Amino acid sequence: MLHYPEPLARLINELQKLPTIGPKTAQRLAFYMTKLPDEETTKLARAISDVKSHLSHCTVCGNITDRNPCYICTDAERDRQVICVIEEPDDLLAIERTKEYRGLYHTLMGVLSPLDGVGPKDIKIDALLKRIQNEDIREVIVATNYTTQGQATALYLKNLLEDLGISITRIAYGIPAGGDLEYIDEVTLARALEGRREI
Amino acid sequence: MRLNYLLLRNFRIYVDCEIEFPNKGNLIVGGNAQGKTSLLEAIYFLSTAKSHRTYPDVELIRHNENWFYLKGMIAPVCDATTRTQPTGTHSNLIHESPLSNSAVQSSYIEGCQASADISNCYSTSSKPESQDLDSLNMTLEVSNESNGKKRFKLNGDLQRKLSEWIGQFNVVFFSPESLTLVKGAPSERRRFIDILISQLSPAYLNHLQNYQFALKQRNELLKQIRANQARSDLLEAWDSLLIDDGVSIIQTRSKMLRQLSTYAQIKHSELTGGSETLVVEYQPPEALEGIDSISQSEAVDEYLKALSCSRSQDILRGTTSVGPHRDDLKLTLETGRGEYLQRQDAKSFCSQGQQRTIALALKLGELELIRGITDKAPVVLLDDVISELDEMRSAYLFDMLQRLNSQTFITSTRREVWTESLEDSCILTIKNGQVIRQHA
Repeated sequence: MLHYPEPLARLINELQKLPTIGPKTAQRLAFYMTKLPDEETTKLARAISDVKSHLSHCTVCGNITDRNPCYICTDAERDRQVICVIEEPDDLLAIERTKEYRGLYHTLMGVLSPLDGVGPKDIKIDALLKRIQNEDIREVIVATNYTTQGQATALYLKNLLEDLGISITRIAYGIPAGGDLEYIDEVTLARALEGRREI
Repeated sequence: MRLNYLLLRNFRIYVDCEIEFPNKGNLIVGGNAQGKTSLLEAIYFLSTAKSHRTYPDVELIRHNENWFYLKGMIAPVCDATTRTQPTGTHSNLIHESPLSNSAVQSSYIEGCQASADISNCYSTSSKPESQDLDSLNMTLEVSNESNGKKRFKLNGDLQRKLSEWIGQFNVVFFSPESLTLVKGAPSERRRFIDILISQLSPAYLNHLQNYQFALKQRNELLKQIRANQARSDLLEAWDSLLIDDGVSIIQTRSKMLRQLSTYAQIKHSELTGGSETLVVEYQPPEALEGIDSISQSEAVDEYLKALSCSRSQDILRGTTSVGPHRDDLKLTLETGRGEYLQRQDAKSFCSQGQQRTIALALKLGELELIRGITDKAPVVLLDDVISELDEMRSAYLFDMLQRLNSQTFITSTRREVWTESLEDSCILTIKNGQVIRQHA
């Protein structure tokens, strides 16, 4: 059995807990860090600890932010009548990267999943309702993932919001840009055919 | 389809065994517990990623080992090309099938609840042979570890989705256990049709997996509602999801079963000399009766109605009582004609012999259905059938396999059985997980 010195073993152990990092990568990263100059390791350590101490969730939309409310919620240029509902804060970044969407966001911080014990009270649905009632909202775009739970959450939101006199839409599902039909799986293609529209 | 080569490592009794199958007929002879059925099971596993029996995969691993590995090389012989076989009987003699021969490539699985955790890797690599069909040859590899990790490779590439490789290599397995198709619980028949259809329709397997997951979620929610931990208006979302996949499942099952019924009826009538007529019918649960014969939008409404009717009862029981997970296959034998027509339920009122014939007719119907849709004759595995069938029926069976040009693997404890029933055949003698003799 191989023995690492205790501090090294501890670092490897901590790194391994990160997503996509396995034992080999953890060991490689740890050894690399032993070779770094002191100021580099201090910077890294501070960056990690600052992430927790300086960041929080925006109390309005749930986005990860260093000021509250976040830069999107306070941006006067944005369309304040449209809310895009997403599962997690990183979905927000994905949509922001398109540079096409100019409305606001609402992060649910999860999806409905009875098997995991997650019900409407466990995700930010009440907060969404409150926003719709208190602000002048015209449209809610449901952009949860196309998984069973994401779909169930979207359907639940539709049932919940349909009497509020606002438009509720779901992002489309189908062929990716530049997608070659030949390589697209049958299920996606079948859905894309179902959801076809006039040109 | 032709299985040309099989490698088994740590699979049941087999330690490391390589077998080539140059012949169309393969008669596997050996005493009890020598590995005959396991050989067929390995071939079946290459096709379907599961045992033909309802064992956990772990039990397939050789005692005291923690993994097994299987590799097969397959040549997808099309019906049109079978004439190139040395002893090739003309496949053209086969009666025209009443069904369309659309060459659909396909995929399946029934126990899909587990399949999300399965990372299967089958590998198919082309075999260096100077044939026109060379590029179509494929290698399937599957390994299974005792921790439940399955890996599948198709031509050397790791396959992440079950649906991407299932249906590549089709087999039909007839064994003494096939009788449970007639005698067993509805779940046996659902397993049969799910495995069959998943091989023929890739979308079906996907709907099935989604349905089963949504069903689990809904059942959990029902229990939470019963315990006052959740509100019942949450059910609507899961109901819509269930209906979405459920209607597709119902419609595909109904369509495929109509085709299967036609084939099985023909086979059954040939087996019995026409004295009885087998009727195979799709049977949804009572609340969904007739749902397979109406339009999609009507079916959605009916389904929704049925779900809301049973809602309070479902909450009480903590389980969903309506849906394709409660489907069955109704098997009826009709005798006589006109006003003397008699119908009897195969499960309760038929003799053991009649039931066995029905099971065989269903399996032969399966063979014809796969052949009709994929344009390739599936490999046929017959486990100990001679003890199951009388002389007339086994003669018919061999005659049919001959005409179909299906590669066939047959097990038996005795050699005498083999007479000259099959052309282009060889005998493999198996002892304690080794092929000890192979001769024509």
